[in-house]
Amino acid sequence: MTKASSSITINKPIKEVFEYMASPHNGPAFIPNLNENENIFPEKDGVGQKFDWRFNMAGVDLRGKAEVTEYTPPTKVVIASHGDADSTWTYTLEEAGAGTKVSVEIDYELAETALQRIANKAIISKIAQKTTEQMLDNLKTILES
Amino acid sequence: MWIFYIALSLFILFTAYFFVLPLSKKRPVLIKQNGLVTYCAILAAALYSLQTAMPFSITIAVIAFFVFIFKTWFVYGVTEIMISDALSKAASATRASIENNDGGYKIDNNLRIRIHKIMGRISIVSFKKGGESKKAKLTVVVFKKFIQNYFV
Repeated sequence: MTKASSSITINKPIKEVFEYMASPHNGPAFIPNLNENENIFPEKDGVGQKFDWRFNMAGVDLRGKAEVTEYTPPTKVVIASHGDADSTWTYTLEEAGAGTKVSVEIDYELAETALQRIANKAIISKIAQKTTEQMLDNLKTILES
Repeated sequence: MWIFYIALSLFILFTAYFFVLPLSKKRPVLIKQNGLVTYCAILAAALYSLQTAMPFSITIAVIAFFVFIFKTWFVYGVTEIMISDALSKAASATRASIENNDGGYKIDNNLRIRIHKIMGRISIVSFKKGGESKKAKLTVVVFKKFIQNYFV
């Protein structure tokens, strides 16, 4: 498993940040290269919520299924996904003054078939790190302005 | 003549990338400004070397110039209504304000977007350059994703 992580402080209440971030409906809006989350069921966010995802990494379409495995409002969400890339996404939130400190950690492993389609493993590592930083920056842009 | 063969080879490669690849996955074609300028320039270069097709070459070069000046996307495979719907959904997802006025849209009180139906399922999306906010730029990124999520 390879790891990518990042954190940021968002000047919004923890409840608001959690509600937006924890919903798979909002994923494509703030996660770069995540094209879509579909077949989200059940509608209500929580443990056991499942969905199909499609991610574009270096021009290659990766697909899979995901499930929310931990949902502790308003501090933690863990999403486990399987498919072309097996990964675990952990969102941790904590109050920071009037705002919220958001941390994201992604543990991922690309399936061999997907990896074979992408030339350089080092590039993937850079893209994953860039993705975590960009997603939090996007989240800040969406929620603060 | 070698210019013709090089331009033709590039044209085939770009056609495969821009059209064949998305359509093979039953997804719409979306060519952004830089891609569209490059594609038009290659086509113009290929036609320019053929004496009989020179007028077409000049027309395409003029189109490329306008695409370069006015930020434009070419979209094939979805209707104008579907594109408008994708824009509304993108604005909603990024919590950006969206106003519908003068036959176009204003995103985050900042960026003007117009959707022009050319014919059938061919449309042009134009953006008025300058002063885009960070949220408006993010909305455009999400807008592109939502258009490409449709099936043809």
